[in-house]
Amino acid sequence: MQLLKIAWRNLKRNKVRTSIAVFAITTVVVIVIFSRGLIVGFTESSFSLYINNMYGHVRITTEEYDLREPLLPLDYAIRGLDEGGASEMAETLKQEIDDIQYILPRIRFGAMSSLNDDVVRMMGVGTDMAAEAHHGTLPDDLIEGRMPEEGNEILLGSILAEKLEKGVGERVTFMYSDAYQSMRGRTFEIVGLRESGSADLDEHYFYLPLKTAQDMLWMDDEVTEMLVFGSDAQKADTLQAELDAFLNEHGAEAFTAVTWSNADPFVQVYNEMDEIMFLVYVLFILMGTVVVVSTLSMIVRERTAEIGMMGALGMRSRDIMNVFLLEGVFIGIIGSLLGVILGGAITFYYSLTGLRVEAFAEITGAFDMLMEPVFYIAFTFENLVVSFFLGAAVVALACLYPAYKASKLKPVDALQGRDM
Amino acid sequence: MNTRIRMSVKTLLLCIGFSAAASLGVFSQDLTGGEIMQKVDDNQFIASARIESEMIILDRGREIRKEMITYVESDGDDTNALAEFVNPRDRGTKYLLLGDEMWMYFPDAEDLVRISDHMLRDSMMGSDFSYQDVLESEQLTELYDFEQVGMETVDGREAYVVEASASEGKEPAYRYRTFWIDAERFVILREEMYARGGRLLKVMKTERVEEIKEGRWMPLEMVMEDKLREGSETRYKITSIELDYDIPEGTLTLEALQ
Amino acid sequence: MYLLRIAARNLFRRKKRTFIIASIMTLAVISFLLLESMMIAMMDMSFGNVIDFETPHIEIGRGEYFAEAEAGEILPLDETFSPDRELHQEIESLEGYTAKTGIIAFSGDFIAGRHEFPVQVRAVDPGTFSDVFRNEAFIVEGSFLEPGDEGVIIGAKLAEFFGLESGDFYTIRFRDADGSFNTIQGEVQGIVSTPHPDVNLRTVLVDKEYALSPLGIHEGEITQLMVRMENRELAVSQAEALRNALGTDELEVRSYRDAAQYIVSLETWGYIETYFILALILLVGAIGIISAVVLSAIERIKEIGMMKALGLKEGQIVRVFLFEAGGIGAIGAFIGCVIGAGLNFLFVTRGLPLGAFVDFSEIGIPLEETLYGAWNLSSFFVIFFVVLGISLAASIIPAYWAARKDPVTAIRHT
Repeated sequence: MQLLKIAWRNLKRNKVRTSIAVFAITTVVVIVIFSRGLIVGFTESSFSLYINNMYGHVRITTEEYDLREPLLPLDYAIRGLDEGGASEMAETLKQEIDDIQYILPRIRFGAMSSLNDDVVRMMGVGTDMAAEAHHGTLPDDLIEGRMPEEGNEILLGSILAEKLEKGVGERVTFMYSDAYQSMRGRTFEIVGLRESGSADLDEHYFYLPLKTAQDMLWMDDEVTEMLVFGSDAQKADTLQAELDAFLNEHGAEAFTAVTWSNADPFVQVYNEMDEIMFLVYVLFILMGTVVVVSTLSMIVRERTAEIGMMGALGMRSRDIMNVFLLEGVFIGIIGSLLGVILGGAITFYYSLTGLRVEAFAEITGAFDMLMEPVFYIAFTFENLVVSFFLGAAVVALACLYPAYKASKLKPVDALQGRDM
Repeated sequence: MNTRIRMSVKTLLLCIGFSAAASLGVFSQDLTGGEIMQKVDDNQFIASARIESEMIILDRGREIRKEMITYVESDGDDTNALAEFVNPRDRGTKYLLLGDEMWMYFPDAEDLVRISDHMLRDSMMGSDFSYQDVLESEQLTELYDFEQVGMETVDGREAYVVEASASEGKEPAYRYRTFWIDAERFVILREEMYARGGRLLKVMKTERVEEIKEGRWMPLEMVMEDKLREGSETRYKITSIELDYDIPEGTLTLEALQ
Repeated sequence: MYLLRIAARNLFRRKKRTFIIASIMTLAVISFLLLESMMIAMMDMSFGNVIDFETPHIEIGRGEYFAEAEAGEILPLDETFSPDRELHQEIESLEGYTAKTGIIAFSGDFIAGRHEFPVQVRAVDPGTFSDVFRNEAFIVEGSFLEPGDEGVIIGAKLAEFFGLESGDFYTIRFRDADGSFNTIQGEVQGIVSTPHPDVNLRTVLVDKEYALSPLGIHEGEITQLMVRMENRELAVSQAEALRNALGTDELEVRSYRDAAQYIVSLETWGYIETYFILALILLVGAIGIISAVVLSAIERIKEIGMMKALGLKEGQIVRVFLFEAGGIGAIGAFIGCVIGAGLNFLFVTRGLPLGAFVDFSEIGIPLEETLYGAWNLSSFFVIFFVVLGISLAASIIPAYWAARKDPVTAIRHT
């Protein structure tokens, strides 16, 4: 107890030293928290477009469809387990496999439109609008209007709308081939425009309610693919294994479940590369540790006179070491706490609004980007908690060595200000 | 990209148009290719008609059926026709041919779709025939030079063999065609379509011919085969045909289409 | 300079501290250099794929041809051109020119058995094709093309789709230059499995001699002239040079970047990410510098007081601290560059085995299993001066604060 009071008083006595130490620790913790949020955000955003629009965490299609995918073959659609219907299959999967958070069933089909004498070709996606509104990212990308609800309402990619010279509230006629290769045409009402940031999506895709697509294409209760989502994109492999096992058990070998990272060989490589980012995070911690350690050891070192006095006054070596340790713990806790609060606030704020780095992009001479230069920061409590304990632990450990050295100093040398 | 061959209004016209001349029994081997085709062409002339037909498409083991009702009229130079699908899946879809323009009507669409120049090369309803191919089949005599190269027996009938090759300056989709024409009835019994390099691309066989009116024979059932792909064929059947039909005024117009 | 010597002596006196702070900067420098090298390596890999199999460093063709191709329409066979001697000479005179080959690319339907699939057929000149493209190196079955062959080279994915092996029969239906249907047919001569998945599915190679007549094209006419250069940087700059030299309206000169928009965008994104991380790393370093200066100031209050008593002005004291901080930054950056260069050398020569991270057997296409780093000399200089700058900047305020200390209270504060 006595030691605690001594440690506390020491800290209060030299405000400048203490503040510097706390400042260093706080700032480092803030940076560590922010960088973690940034790095996790990088991974998520690199692939989020891909995951949310193409594959989900795991994508289920029939094997034949997978093989012929570039042809968009509607005759190889998913008709359900034992032909029981796609919606029932989705329900069954959700019930039987706990890891599934939600499923987005979709139909993709080719369509075209006449514009003066030109033909504009595009891709239509029939999707469960209720599920999209709840879980998907389409609503986030709305820049005008609203999501289609039912009937012949569609959501157009922003660049596609420009190409067609149409806007929200207008009607447009598209032609397409149904599952029986009959040419069909239908007039739709544009109720919303969407900008995902990816030129490919915004120029070629339009979205409509699943029921409408099924109706249009003569695909009653059928879908071309199901995007299955678990809790974490990085755990897709487990989810895929479970789906595979389930499908095989129920004699549905004709289906294939593919994780997003396996779908495209390059995505797979990039995904693994992203794990290297974790090393970068470790680097931040390492550097932060060096900063903290050097700061603390500098502080201890210049208090040799003080140490000598304590020794001369009769304090035992062990107690001297403990006093320094306690000082370290105090600084560590205060610094980490402040760091977590500040770092958490900053990360939280940017996780909501995204960090716009256009200015940064210009400085680095970035050329034409197909995507918006915005960083998405991920905010997790895990990040905060881990950083707090890391900070406190590092500081405490950092104090050990200098504290030990301090305690070993002979009072005579110390009083004379001789360096250790 | 599935090559199921769909009947277009024009092909239908083409197929059903060739009918026997009023004059019968002229087995003249002195007829030139051009003259033979002209006779066929003359005999295909339909002032007006109402036709009910059926099309069965076989592709990779799947069978798809379509039914249509067609009204056609011609003054010798221009032909207008309206084809309406009546089978459940396609019910309400209509094609209108006015001269050399083709329009489509879909029940769920608010405007008509014209087959624009850019779309000409597109396949029609997923078939091997593009819209351009269809429009071309009306102009056979303008696009090709014909040569009669002999006589053969086809399904028990004596037939002229006429070879056609693209005329100078013309660029039809099929550079070479060969026709087997019933020497008595002037009905096309068989047609082969070739690629520029000579490869056989498609074969059309007439399976049933009937005398619709005194002296006029018409092919009522035909099979079209894609020779490049296995197991791909389309069968056309005319289930009823009424010549000199009194088509209601204004039926073959854009306004009626909507 | 007298002040510099004071600063240098101070640094030397506290060697341990100097090196500890400097080590932060060293770490920053090393991480930046390696991260950047890795990113360039990955970009090389991605672009390399495009360049080796799809669009080489420089591509020349008619503007209309490219326009239709981009619009997703059928490749127009009437947009061919015949490169004249002048064009050939212009290209050969480009800096870093390596090889060129002319191709005729057209759209067709590949038919076998009951199925058909739309493909892009490239009629190539077997003699020069392999100087520019690397498809031949990835033959897995059969053999590559020789002049006069009637066979085709197809990708492994297409072969899988149709269930074909080398020696099996194929037909390709297309429209010739007049718009008439025509076919080429024969045997599948060879099957390739390249690192480019799209090529494995959609690209079919055929001998130009054989295809000329069916296509209805005159000898010497091509749709695109493909040029390989020594490296990517030259490709972009020389494409521009060629563009200016030719100055025609009809022919368009494109670099691989025009064809690989998506990858370019990825690359930009990668750069922004790397630089941002670097900025954060430097921020940590700056914190280190700040705390070092402040603490050293506190420690040397007596010294500062004495310096003032001896007549040194505040400005000069500030400068001493600045030089010290700059010195730490410079030492750290220098060591970082040296170690970074050493590590990068290993990275460039030995490479990083990706097999440790990715299970290549799962992928199904022959991707390079080792990632080789790249040198970017300008980065070394840039990072050195940036670190130096940050060290100086971070120390300014603490330095002024230190210099302000009152000599009287300072001396008394023993």
